[in-house]
Amino acid sequence: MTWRGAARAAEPYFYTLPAVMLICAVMLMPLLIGLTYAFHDVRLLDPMSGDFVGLEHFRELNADPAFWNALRNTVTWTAASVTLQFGLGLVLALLLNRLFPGRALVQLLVFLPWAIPSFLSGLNWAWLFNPVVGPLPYWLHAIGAMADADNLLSHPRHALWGPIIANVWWGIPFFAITLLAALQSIPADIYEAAAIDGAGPWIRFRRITLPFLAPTMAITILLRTVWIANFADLIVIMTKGGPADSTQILASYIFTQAFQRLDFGYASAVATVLLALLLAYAMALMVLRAALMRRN
Amino acid sequence: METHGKSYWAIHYLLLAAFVVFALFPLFWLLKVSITPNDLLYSEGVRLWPSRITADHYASVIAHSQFPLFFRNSVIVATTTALFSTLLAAAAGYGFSRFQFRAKFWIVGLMLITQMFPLVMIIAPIFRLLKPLGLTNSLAGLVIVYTAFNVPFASFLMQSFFDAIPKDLEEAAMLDGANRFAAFRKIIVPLTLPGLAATVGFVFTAAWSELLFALMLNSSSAASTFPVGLLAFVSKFSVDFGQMMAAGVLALLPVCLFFVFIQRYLVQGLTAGAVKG
Amino acid sequence: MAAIRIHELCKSYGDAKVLRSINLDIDDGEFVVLVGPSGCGKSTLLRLIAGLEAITSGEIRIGERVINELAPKDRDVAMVFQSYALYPHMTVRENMSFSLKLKGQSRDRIAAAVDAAAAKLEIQELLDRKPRALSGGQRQRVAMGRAMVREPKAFLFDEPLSNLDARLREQMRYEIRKLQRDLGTTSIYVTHDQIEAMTMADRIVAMHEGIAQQIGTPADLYDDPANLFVAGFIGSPAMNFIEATLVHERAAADGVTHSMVMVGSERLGMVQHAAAVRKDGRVTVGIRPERIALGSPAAALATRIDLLEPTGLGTVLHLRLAGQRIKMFTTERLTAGVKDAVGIAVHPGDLLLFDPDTGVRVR
Repeated sequence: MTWRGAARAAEPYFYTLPAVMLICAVMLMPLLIGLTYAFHDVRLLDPMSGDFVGLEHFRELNADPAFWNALRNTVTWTAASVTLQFGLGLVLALLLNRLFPGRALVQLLVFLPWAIPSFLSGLNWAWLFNPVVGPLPYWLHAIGAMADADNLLSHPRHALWGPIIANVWWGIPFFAITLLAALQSIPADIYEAAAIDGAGPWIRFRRITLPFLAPTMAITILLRTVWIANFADLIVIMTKGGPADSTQILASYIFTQAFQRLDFGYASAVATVLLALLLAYAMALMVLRAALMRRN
Repeated sequence: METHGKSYWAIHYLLLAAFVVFALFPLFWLLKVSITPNDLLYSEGVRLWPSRITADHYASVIAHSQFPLFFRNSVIVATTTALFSTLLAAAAGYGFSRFQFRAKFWIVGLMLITQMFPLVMIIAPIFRLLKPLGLTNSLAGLVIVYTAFNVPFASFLMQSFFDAIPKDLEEAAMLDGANRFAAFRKIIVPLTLPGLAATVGFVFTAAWSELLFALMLNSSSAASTFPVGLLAFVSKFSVDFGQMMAAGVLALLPVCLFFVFIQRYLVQGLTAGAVKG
Repeated sequence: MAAIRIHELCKSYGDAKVLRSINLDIDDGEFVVLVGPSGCGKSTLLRLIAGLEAITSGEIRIGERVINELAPKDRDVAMVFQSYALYPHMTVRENMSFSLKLKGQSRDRIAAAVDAAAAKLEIQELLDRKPRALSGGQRQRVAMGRAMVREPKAFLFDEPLSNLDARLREQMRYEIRKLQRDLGTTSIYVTHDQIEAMTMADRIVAMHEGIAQQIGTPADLYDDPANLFVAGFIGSPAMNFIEATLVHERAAADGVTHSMVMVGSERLGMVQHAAAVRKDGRVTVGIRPERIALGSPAAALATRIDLLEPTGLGTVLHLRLAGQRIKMFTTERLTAGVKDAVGIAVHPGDLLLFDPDTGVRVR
């Protein structure tokens, strides 16, 4: 290869390598190291630790009721958050898809929650649920949803809904923006043709809007599901996983194990299981998508 | 589109109002408690607006607590992260936009993977990596970590902005006597200023909000960022709600300001990338 | 200003061969047009000369220098893009000054050069505007101005008129050619429009599937096409191609054969050809619509009119001759109408013979 040819071929690397190197150093390498921790006894407080323990941690987590509880909660947390964020986001996107006076201002206001740092969203909702300073316990009691004006977050059975609501509040704008963009890319003349053909609004929605949105929806939902399953911040802030581990999800369980018990080995084992589950989920969706496309 | 009847618009506006209320109410409540004097806090509880308002809580937060320090730390970390991330992301995004090369598939794949695994998973290894380097309890350590976290998404965002600029502009510049890098600097970058602004704003917001790594990597309050400081304050003084909410409002201000200015560009950039899936 | 020599130039993307063994010698000051349908490789050839793509094999020289390895900025060529590629955030003056600023020339010299070019192109009032405030034709001129101030060794034009409407295109064709004559700069011009090629070129390179099918003056390509592609691409309305048979009449001493061209049972005329034809005598005959004349229905060839297309200047008649469809163009006023019979006459010298399988011209 000539000198110039070599320079030409190396150009793209000149632009992309700095970013890649940083990511490899700070994310990829630790990821691989973290995977090895899962098979070693690594405790921060014990300088003598670091022995290879094989599958010991995995046996431990298999027998750990807190782990299985966290797994169940992860499913509830993810399913509820994604469904509500998507559903309400879709409604909002449909509402914003029509021109009306003041639309720009309304858009700004309803997208604002997205700018709020997640920790503040968590604290804010925790305070709203707190009977000392927040209105929600009284209102929930007034409409009969709660027996007493209590803090929702201290009821083991229902506490998880606190973070879920905070997550939905924070997450609707993201879905709304993505879906709005997708809605706006649907050509108007398709709707007009359908209207002339006699299709009413509901049919138009089902037969035109939904199929057009489907590809964007599929990828977005996949990515957000994975992201939400990994999102521990709100739970750590609002309930620390309590009361009595009832609101732990796998991601927050990993954090408390690492941060509070300083047992990096066990935390990494749980993280490995979570990663494996997410990869399985992603692959299952790819297979499903390929099967659906073959059917069509 | 066809015209709609009055009942259609009534429902339309009603639902929109519901969304707006839902979106703004928590923030409104935060503001309300932050200006409610302590003696009225418990007695007036659920009122929508206090009978007397005060700026005392803000005064104590700003003058007598460590919040100014936390605020300053967060500003330094978030701004520095935003600048470095945007620099690296602009370069990488440009590379993705303009070049086809063999490693591209793997590099893009690498960046996608980083968006998918639980970040909590690498908290432990990063801690053990940074400690011997003296980068725990330091703002520099946080900047390095946050930059790495944000570069993938920022790169894709910048790529979609670059894709919107025709390639023949660089080619014209290269024939005019510039090499590609000069063409990038003088022609392409000035045209993507909205994209750069959006990326800076986005990364700033993300870095400002990060909690878990800041918590894990910092044990001293000298290097604490705002989320960590606020959380510590909350657990220590869990009854002084007025002050805590005032601190919360102060935490909101930078990101809200950023958001108001860059929302338009952010939507533009995300829609360009999001529709492609 | 310099001569450009292209020798055995090839370009492949992986296994796909986009340009095959292009050989072309362009004289200093010549205006050469690369013409062909989409995908023929003409734009690729231009980009190789500009240095925007890498050469697979072969050599390009400008003047005496081999420029294969040079970056675009070192080749001293200027290009006018199809989309004009004007820098949107700069004024017209800044657009035109950009290249000279990069060279480090003084402000006064730059201003003088820009003003001179602007005067020549009559765009002085536009100098402080931004590209988005200009019309298509104005942007065209600014693009040319940007190329002109550099006084390069060659101009490269990449379909610069494609984005303009028909009227504007006519006018710009004239202006571009006139400007190039005044400046005397070697120019290579890419277009898919054969009218632009015919009216503007000193020489034309007709390209198809990566190969230079024929290189010659417009008259050469019009009167003496080398193969079916060139014959059918140049000229509008397009040349008629008729499936015919050559019936050998007699051979002359100088190696020339005389044969009768038969279309079905109709005799088209006696032609001379030196090259051997296929044993079965099959041949494709080309005849330009404007070379067919009206004759009386009784004499000459009988045809039936399928369709009439008046163009103002004359009429295009769609005819049926022995079952095959042909077109004819005449400026005479007609009395016949659709479904009428009309007689046509052709001069044997206007009949061009092509091998029906390879498309190569039989001379």
